[in-house]
Amino acid sequence: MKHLKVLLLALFAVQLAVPGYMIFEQHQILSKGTVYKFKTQPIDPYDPFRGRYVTLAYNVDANPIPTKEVFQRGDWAYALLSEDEDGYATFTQLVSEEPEAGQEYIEVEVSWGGTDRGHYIDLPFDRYYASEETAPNIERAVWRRDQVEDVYAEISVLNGKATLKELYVEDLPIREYLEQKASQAEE
Amino acid sequence: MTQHNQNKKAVSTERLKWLQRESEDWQEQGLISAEAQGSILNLYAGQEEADARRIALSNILLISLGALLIGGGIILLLAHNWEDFGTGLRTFLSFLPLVLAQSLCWYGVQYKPTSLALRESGAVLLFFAVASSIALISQTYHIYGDLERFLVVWLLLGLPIIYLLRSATTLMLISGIILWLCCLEREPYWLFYIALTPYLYKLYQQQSRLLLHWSLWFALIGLTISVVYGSSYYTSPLDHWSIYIALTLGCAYYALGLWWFGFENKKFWTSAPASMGILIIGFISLMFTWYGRTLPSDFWQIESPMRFNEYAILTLFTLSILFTALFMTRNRKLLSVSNWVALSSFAFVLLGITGFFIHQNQHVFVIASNLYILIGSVLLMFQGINRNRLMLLNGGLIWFSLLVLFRFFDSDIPFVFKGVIFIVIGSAFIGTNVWFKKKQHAKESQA
Repeated sequence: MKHLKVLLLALFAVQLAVPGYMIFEQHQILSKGTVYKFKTQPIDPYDPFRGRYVTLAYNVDANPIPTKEVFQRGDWAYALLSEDEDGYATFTQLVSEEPEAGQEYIEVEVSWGGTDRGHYIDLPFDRYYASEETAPNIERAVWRRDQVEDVYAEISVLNGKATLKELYVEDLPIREYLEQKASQAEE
Repeated sequence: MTQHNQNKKAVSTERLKWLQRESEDWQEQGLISAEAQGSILNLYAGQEEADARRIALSNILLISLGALLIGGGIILLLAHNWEDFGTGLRTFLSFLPLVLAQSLCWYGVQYKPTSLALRESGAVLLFFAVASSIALISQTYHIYGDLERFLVVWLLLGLPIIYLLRSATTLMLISGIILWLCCLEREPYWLFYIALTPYLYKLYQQQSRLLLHWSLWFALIGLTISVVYGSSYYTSPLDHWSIYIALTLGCAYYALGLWWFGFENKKFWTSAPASMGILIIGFISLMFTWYGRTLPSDFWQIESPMRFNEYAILTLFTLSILFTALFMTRNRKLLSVSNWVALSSFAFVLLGITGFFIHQNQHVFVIASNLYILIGSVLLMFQGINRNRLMLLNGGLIWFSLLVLFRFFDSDIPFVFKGVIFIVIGSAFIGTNVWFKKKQHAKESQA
């Protein structure tokens, strides 16, 4: 009985520590990370536990990332980050060795591809959670536009970990943008 | 309610009183010792006691269901995504259900260690609180991760609850989560069922009737679907083997059921392994009666390599074959006709495996399986009538009817041929029945 209680308390501690660590890690990345802008197009699916979210399809994901190494699907790799002339994030190369300090990178799961044409990757920030009302609105607001040039996500990057900071449309945070649209519609 | 009480035979209160009076007489006459009297009386429980027991068990069931709904409700409330709440409040909310559920569990363990209902409901709430906590945090920070990762984290944080809070309801929930994972991804998540077996064995040892049977049904259904689904996907090297894997699992379950719950267990519900085995054997044997079943193919194909999942399933397949074969050889004298009817389907597994080495004509399988069900179902019906067991009779009838139904719609057999077979079998049925009646009449008149 004594052992059982000690183990039970240990389980409680682990159950509290896992979500606690999740929060801590996110805070670290958000507060200390470098911020990159990723161009994106959102679509709106559903998760039974976490509710509605917007899946973000990123422009950087449209083309495979060049690489000199051989990867299998499902391998973990480091995607080296850079910015294009418009200030949006791009990936320059996929490597298996952790890059040295000074080079920003994101740890990613390798998807389809090959050494000759490069690999597609699964970006670890493809979900933007929102309420049942907001999520479809985000999708509608963005898709109704013919040009989705100015939709991007701000991603905070720290030591290979990346987390989504905010989603922007026309340089406004998505919620402000939706509010502005709503007030314009009323007028 | 102690565990021991659950094993007592329920008799009416008058009978129990009668037995008490009589046994006192026997003791006074020196027929039995006071000790023996005590242990005899201990075998029986009065109706009121039995009723109280039933109420206590249904209480647990209802409370667990309540906890299940509340837990699900909390998750749904949080999934709404209260985006107007600040990060601080949302963080607080992610821990609130978890801490509350943990406190409830601790209260149960510390102050009410005998209350099964409190323990079960606390465990269920805790299990859901873990999910709601991770879900809300992922939602707040838009944390990457598909459903699969979420379920794995939930499973790992929830699994110890079964053992530390001794909760069978959590075991059933976790069986469901493992099944869900196996349906999402073709990874060997079904190996997590192994982590449930020590608790199932403990329930079996405690003779905890209600919880054991529910848990066993959940675990077995989950395991079967996970393994068969995991072996039957397109491009899997085990693709053509899944029908044999399923049948072997069925035979092994059946043997396990007989071994665990004895050869005399006659109830469908209370021998989950044997009943599950029967269902699988009945269903798969009917599948064998069709043409078009693919013969097993080579495992080591170049286009679809064997991975860990396939090797794990293959190991389970081999172990099940060995267990069934061993069980049949060791218990061959104890097995009844109906046991043999079920277990002889094992021959199809062996036929399938040999078919892999020696190419067989497909007709062999189709004819053998049709004959097997025809003879097997008739034997079961006879057994059912002779031993006055309705379940055997009904089982045989259902099996037979399905065979007839399948053949009626079978487009591989010409109509005339089908018609003749139907008429011949029908006449045989009536003929046997008449002969059987006459024989009984003769017996009665002799007596």
